[in-house]
Amino acid sequence: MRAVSSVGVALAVLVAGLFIGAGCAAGRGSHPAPFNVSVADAWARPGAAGDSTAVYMRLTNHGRGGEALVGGRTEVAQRVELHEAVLQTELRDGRPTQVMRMQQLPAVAVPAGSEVELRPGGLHIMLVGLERALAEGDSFALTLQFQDRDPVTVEVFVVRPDSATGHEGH
Amino acid sequence: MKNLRIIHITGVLALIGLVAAIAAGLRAAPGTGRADGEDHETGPAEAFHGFVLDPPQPAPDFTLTDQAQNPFRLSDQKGSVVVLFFGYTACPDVCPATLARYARVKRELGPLADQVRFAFITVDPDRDTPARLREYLGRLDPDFHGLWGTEEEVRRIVDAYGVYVEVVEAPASPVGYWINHTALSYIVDRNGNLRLAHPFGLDPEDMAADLRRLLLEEEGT
Repeated sequence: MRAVSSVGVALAVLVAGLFIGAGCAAGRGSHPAPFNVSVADAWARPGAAGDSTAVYMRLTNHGRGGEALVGGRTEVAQRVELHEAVLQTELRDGRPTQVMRMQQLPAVAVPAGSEVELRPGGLHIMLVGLERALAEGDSFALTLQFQDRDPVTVEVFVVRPDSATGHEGH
Repeated sequence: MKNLRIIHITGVLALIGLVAAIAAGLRAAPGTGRADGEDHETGPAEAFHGFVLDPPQPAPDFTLTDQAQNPFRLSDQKGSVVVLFFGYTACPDVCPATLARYARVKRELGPLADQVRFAFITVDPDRDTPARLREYLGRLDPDFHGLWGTEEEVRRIVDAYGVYVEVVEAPASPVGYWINHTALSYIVDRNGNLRLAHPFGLDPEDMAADLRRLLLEEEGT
């Protein structure tokens, strides 16, 4: 049995609790309300160069206006896409099964006062075509683009999410 | 939506028990009564958490190649409980999340985990060679079995288990395509019978409880 990386995960959770405060979008005419979305617990799974991996985080909109995550970029991947895994229990040829479908999304809405969790089996940011391997313990910068806002850069920690800290749980 | 190419939406296994379980609000099979002095976590009074296949059916047998290039025959695993998941290594979300849950289930089970075989069957045999499966599972848990077969072999097994596989072209992505697929874990008991289907998202504690219960059943019935 392998030693659990719960300490590492806990650290990542603490350090990743980046707060992106107001002021970064000052002066934008189309958005009079200050940008006030916090990003917490940004983590990604390890992945080999050339592969894809998912990034998860919690977005909280403390502001008065709705915001929308529309994309991003990072040096570690060719493309950054927004995806949602939709799990449905459905009948196929008269038999029930649980099917996972991937959908690419143009945007992830973060309504005013809401918390949106990107988590396994749900919304995630996909890093497509990793430029280099991401190993447990690494971290990298991910720049998030919100609609009509200046880009926001967060640090993402690479963890092997099988610890008991609840990353994969509910 | 993108160009959808459906490989197979078939299956010959009648999961009647599964229908019943879903219709009954996922109510599991009733226990056989109060456990008298037995471990409360594992006593027969505890219900299963997954979808129950009632009556159990012999799990369709197969022989595939594992990540060490050794043959893996399902019927050779009798005496162990086998957990089967159908996925692919380029799957960025649900597959690694499922395998991460298995790692937690293993820890929950403690020494009993030695009697469980966790098997990841690729539905993408073109891209997922045994070598790639080895690298992929090595990042998660090298004890998991990564199973590969020719497209025909995989198709036969997918059909036998009623697994849904749909390739979705993603021409703008370097990956080329994604695969929508069944997210259930299929649980085969120590006698080679297909007993349970665990949905994605089932708590590792609950999954471990089901596996523990199957491990403590009498063998050979």
